Amino acid sequence: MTTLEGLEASGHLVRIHVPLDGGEQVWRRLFGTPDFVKWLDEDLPQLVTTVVGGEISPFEQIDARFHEYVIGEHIQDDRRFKGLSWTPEYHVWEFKTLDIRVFGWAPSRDCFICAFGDMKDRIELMNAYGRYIAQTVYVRDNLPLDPPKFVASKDYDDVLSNAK
Amino acid sequence: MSYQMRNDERSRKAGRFVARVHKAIQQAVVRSGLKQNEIATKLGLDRSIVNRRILGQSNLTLRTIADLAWALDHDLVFDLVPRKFGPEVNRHQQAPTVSGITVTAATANISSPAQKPVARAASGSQRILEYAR
Repeated sequence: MTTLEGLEASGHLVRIHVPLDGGEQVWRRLFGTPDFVKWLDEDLPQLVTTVVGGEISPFEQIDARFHEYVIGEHIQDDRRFKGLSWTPEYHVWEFKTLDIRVFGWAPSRDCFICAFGDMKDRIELMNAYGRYIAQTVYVRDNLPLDPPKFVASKDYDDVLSNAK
Repeated sequence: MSYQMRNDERSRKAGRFVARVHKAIQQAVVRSGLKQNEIATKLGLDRSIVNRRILGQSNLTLRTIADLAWALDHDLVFDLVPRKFGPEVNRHQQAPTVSGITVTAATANISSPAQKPVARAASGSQRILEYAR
């Protein structure tokens, strides 16, 4: 068992950085599994938005969502517009954009580990929400991370603090 | 290991700007306490059209943004200001790319000198549309 930093050093996890704009600072930490980062680097840039006349690509959507997370902005928690959503019972969370869902969990407050990403339409078409949640739990269970491995809460305040 | 998102500044600026506009509209909807059918009635539009605009599922024009601000009883603020800083990158040392993954040795929130000349070629920075009661 080890810490997040130890898992990063051993290659079990990859720290994800987003370019910051002038004057911005890192408030929250973002990690991914090596498989997720491979998807982020190779597959995501090839995806095309399903929004008719859509102005931003799935890659740009994720950059914007990750940037919002990393700099500590308030993440929409109104049920109609959630940018980060909790899935029942398993303490798996998902980042949501118009086209993309990213499944993962919060090992501690202001820290997120991404495990899987895919197009929202494909997940719905394949009815794969349950599979992704189960796979995320499997990855979490098998990651040699010091317990507690996740924040066992569905409350935003337990997993997020805001920079301002 | 660490990974740096690899999108160019133009793409990044566009994506974050559009996302912020959508977020500002959604926050205004929440603050207004209005339901989508009430907003649709005020605008004389079908609720599905308003729903798509609020969720960002249709392109917004300046006119439609202004109309939404009116319907939500919000003022609009828009500004473009010269950039004060070059882009900052929360890393300071570029390492070789391994299997398409950029590996960096350490993390720190400092400027990346190598990227500054590119950034300064741009003439200005956008300040997001802000809605205020």
